Amino acid sequence: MKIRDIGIDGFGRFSDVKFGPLARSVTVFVGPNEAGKSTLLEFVRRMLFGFPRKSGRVNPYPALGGGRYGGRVSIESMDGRVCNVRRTTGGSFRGDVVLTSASGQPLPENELAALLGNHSRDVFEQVFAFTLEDLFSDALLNDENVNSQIYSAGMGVTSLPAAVRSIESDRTGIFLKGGSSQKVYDVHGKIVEMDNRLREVSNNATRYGELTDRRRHVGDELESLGVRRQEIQSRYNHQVMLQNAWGGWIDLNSAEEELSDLPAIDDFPADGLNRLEALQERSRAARREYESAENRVSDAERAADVRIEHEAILEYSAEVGRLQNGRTAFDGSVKDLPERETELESHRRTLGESLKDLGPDWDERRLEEFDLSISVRQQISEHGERLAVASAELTDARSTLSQDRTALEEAEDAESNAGRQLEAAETPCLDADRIRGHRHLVRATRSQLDEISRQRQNVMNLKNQLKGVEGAAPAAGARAGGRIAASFSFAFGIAFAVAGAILGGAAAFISAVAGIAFVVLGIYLFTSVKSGPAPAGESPLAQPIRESIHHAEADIEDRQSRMKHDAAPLDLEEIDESSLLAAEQKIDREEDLLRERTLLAETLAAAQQFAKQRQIRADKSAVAVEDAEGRLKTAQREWREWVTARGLSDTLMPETADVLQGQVELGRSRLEDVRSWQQRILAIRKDIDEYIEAVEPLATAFDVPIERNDPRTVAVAADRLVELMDEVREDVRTRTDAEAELEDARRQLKDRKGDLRKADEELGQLLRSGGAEDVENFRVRAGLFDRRTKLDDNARAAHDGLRRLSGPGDLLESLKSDLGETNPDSIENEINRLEAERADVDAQRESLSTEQGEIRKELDGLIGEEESSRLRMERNVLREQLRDHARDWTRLTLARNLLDEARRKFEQERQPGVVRHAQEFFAAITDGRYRQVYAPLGEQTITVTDADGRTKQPSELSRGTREQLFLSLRFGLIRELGERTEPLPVVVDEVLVNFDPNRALRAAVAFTELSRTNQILVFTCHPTTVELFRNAAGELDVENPDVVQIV
Amino acid sequence: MSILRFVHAADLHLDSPFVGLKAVADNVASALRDATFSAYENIIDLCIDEQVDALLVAGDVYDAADRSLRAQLRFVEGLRRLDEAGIRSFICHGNHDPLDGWEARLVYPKSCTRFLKEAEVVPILEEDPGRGVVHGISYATGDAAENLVPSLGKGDPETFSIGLLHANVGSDAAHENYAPCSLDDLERSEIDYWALGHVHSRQVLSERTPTVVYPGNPQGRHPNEAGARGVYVVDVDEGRDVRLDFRAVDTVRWAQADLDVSRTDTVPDLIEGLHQRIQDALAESDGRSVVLRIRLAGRGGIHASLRQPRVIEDLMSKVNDEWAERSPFAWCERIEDETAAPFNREERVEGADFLAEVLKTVDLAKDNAELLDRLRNGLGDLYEHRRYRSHLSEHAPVDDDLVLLIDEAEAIVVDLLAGDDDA
Repeated sequence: MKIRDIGIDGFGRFSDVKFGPLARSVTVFVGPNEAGKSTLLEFVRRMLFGFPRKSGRVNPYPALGGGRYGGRVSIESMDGRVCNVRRTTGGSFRGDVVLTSASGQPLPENELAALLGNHSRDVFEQVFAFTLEDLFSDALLNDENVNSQIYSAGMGVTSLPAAVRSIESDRTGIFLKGGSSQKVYDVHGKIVEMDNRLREVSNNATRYGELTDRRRHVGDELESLGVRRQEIQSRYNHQVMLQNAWGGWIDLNSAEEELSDLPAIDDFPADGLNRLEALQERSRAARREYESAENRVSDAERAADVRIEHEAILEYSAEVGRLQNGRTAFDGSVKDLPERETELESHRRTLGESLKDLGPDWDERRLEEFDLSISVRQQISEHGERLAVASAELTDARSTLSQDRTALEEAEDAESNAGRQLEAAETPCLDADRIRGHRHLVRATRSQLDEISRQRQNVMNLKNQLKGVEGAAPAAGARAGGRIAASFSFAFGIAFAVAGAILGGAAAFISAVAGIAFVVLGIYLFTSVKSGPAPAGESPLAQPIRESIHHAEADIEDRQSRMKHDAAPLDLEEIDESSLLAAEQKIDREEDLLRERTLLAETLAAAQQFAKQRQIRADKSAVAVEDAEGRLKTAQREWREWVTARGLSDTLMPETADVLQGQVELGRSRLEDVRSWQQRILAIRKDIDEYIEAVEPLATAFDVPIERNDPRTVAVAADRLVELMDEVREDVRTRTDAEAELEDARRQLKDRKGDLRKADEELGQLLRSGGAEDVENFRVRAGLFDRRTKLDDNARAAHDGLRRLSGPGDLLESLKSDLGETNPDSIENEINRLEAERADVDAQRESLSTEQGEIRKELDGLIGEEESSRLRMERNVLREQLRDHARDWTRLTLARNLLDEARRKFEQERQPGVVRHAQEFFAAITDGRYRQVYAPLGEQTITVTDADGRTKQPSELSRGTREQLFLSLRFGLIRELGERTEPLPVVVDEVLVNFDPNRALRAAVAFTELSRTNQILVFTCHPTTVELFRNAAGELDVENPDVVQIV
Repeated sequence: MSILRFVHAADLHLDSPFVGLKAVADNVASALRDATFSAYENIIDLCIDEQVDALLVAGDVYDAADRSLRAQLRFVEGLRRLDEAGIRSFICHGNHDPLDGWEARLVYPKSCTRFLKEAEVVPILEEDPGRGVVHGISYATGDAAENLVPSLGKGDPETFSIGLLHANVGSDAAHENYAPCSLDDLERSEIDYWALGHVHSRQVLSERTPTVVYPGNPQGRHPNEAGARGVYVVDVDEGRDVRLDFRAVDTVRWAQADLDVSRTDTVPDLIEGLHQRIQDALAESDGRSVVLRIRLAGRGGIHASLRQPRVIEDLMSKVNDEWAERSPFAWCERIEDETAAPFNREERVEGADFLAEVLKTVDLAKDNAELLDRLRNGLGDLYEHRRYRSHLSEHAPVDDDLVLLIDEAEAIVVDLLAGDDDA
């Protein structure tokens, strides 16, 4: 790619400046200091790669000379494609860029990146467009984008140093010879620790063996001591047995001795004394019960043989029962009778009072026969209602008649008042039609009057105009005057037209005519003045004005004449506004009078009509009163007839009849009370008599005193009879019970007698069985027998006790023998001695048992311990970790060795192309002083070897040589990159100033040589640089560089 | 109809620790420590449940070098249970528990026959010797180098005879060559059933005349001892025909699984894949706990994530946190990262860049002993270090292992140099 031309709109000191066309492969821009060479270089950089982000470290190159910030660069690819790049400030900090083709067609934005070989800004600035300052700096080596090209370009490797560092870091983290903080070291330490602990734990097995041996030994000793203790215990037990047996042994001997002294009793009933006592007690008890039974029989016989007085009353138990049941009723009746009789007397008095209230002709019979049925009550009610209705109707009719007559009088008064008001009212002169006609005349006359007034004003105006026209000098400046007149005429014409429009009516017509006349006149005058001088004499305006005045005055006169004629009915002496107002007031008054009179007439007619209606209604009410009076009389006659028919007074009114009915009803009720009490008293008397009849015969039969006429004695007799009945019944029941008791007592007596006999027989039998003659003898023999038995038991118990201690047979005999040969003291001594010996053995056994328990416990702990298992597992885990670390470390070591191996071979066989190219340039520039440039693979350094074989770092070179080295490296990069991508222009700023002339020329040659592939743009303030490049062109026999002056 | 019924077990290695584990949670460690004992308890229960006549253990009951008291005591305790159940037991000792090895002073039940260094022939049932006899012999020392088969004598044609021996039949190079013998030796012995021990993987070398069986160890203790582990229940009928019935008795099962990550793009997807592998392993373990090793393979984008420090450890923690506390548990003891970046080696090795040089170096080293030696340069610093050699010297990479490690080293270099250039 090459730059064809540069156009700066505004950038730094440049404004609207163009450079180009840059047709040649080398262009040298020459200018003094401050001319803007660096600015131009930066402009190219920014046009191609965009404006940099704003920063304090970046010179913004503001457009100091004016113009829009930015500009244009035209570039052309190696295959001839042209692209115009225009960049100005815009939305992005990089600026708005527009790409167009040579024909002005827009190009896609990525076209620019393709033309720039897809290189980054950094690569362009470091490699293609650099300044003297850039050349001196070693930033080239530190730029990642660049140094990867230097060191690994063509290798396909971007991060060999990082890879080596990473591997080495990981390796040494796992294992480092002599290191003590690496993973392998740590894990091994833990394994050693684990082994130590395992060794400790392995002693457990030895301890287990020792313990099992000791446990066996202790067991043997315990067994031996057990045997010994058993022997001691055996001897001890024997002595204890002798000790325990000693008492029994003594008892046995004592019992046998006493038995031999007592008389023998072969047989005696067992438990004889107790049995004797029991039988004696039983015999005594049987005798007591027998005697008791005899007494009971005697008592029962006496009770069963008793006689009962009045036992015959039992046959009248039913009658006595009735007396008992009716006793209370009898008392009640006796008590009620006088009270009821007193009450009957009271009822009778009340009845008498009722009869007295009804009248002298009323007795009990009439009371009973008087009709109090519902139908009679209904009839009374109907008569009463009819009388009430008729009376009410008559009252209503009379009231209505009175009201109607009052209303009639009021209507007649209103009628006469209305007639008087109508007669008193003023009569109007005009009727309604004439009033409307007069109002129309007033309005027409007023209109006519206004028209005449406007016409008069018009005439006055015309006369004033006429005076003005007649007073002007027509000779002076005829032409000018003509013009003025024409103008006036035209103006008047317009004025009249406007006035007409405002005034309207005839004035409008006249004004219009006058206006047209004046306009025509104006035109005429104007044309006359133009065509030549006007005739001498009267103003040509005067005549038309006069004619107008004349027409207006004639019109006024005519209007006045017609107005007077039309307004004649108004009877006005003079027609003007005031007279018209007076005429209007007169019309208004006439209209009011007419309206009032009409209203009074209508009121009179209405009053007359109303009075007539009231008269009709009063007549109808009078007829209604007569009808009501007739109906009332009929009802009164029918009532009197009904009362008389029932024997009542004809003065009785229906309301009074109701009262009579009530009195009769009350009397009849009282009569019924009297009858009822009479019946009740009769019933009481009957009950009393019947009860006396029942009591009297029984009282007589059983000796109970009674007085028939004295109810109290009757009651007492009745009570006694009842009581007597109860007494007899009780006596009979007692006697029956005694008979049963007698039978039972006799049976019991028989049983007790048997019991007594049986007890006596058993007692005798007991005495006989004990060989006794009597009870006392039996007791003596029983005591003897008990003693022998006890001694036998004692001897047997002692014998059994000895046998239990010794065992049967020979053992017992042996025991007896031993007992016979010893005594308690020697036994006690032997026991004490054996106890001491046994305690000694027990102490030894306890000690051994304790040891045995401890051994067992320790063995259980050893058996159950899992620590060794756990430790072995942990050791295995650690060993596995160690092996894993070793394996990881091995992989990394092999990886490192692989890289070393490959790098060694690569460096030997294939130095990177960049370095090879740089080496060629560097050798050429230094004229062979330095033969070799070497970039160790994977390291960010460059070394050079001089002709003497000495290797130097860049820092060891002089400034000029160092700049030549870095220039050579850039040449190498440009050449290397150009082989793969679009070759970019090389833009340099004063890069040769530190070179000696010889090397400067060689560098210029190198640039010129490079220009075969890359466009070269050189910025310098040194004219010698131009010469250098011209000489270089000459040396290479290529066209001279183009030189552009920057001012 | 069965005339004789016995259980054939071997290589109990009681209380012998698991190997190959880089880390283990406490509860898992506890289960693993008890695993050999639990398997042994299962054998004893099996004998009692199946009402067998005898239990035969063909050596390596425990590792004498471990000096585990617990192992020996628990062993005898199991034999006592058999004794109480009226079941006889026959034990011979192998290279891990030779007669001269450490042994606690224990009392074996009377029904137990421990063969010593001199061969013996013992009736299985004293009261009925005709039903079968056991020819047995134990290792006097841990390095029995001679063929012990001849010393066991010939079988009686009239009586069913069993040879109880810890031996390497056919001198299998995969196992230490103790008491080496050939299948021919066994066939010529006229013994009907060879109850062998030593080889930890289950094998039936001959099904009849004679029947030659390695039951394998009853509890796997190593990643290479994956799958079901157990014993044989052997029934002998009247015609002396043998019927073998394998019964798994292990309580923790080793398993290995591969996970191809070439289509796994994210770490959550990878974790899901790991969980799935664990679920699969548990589903295949017949209700037992599982110790699992998962190998990640394939080229894919996830490789870059796996290369980050501690990612593998974090993945293991993630899945183990999920499964270790369950019952049965699963423990992922290792995730082997054999993944690679999406990288076309065949193309890259043909290139002219530095990486191509590395790849060519790797290829060259496999056939170039001198180059191989140069690449091994420096490894001795670790493997021959006086402090570590006792642990590592036998693990120094050689031969195929070295080649494998070089390939893995190449992967490291590719990761660092190529990055995702070829993705």
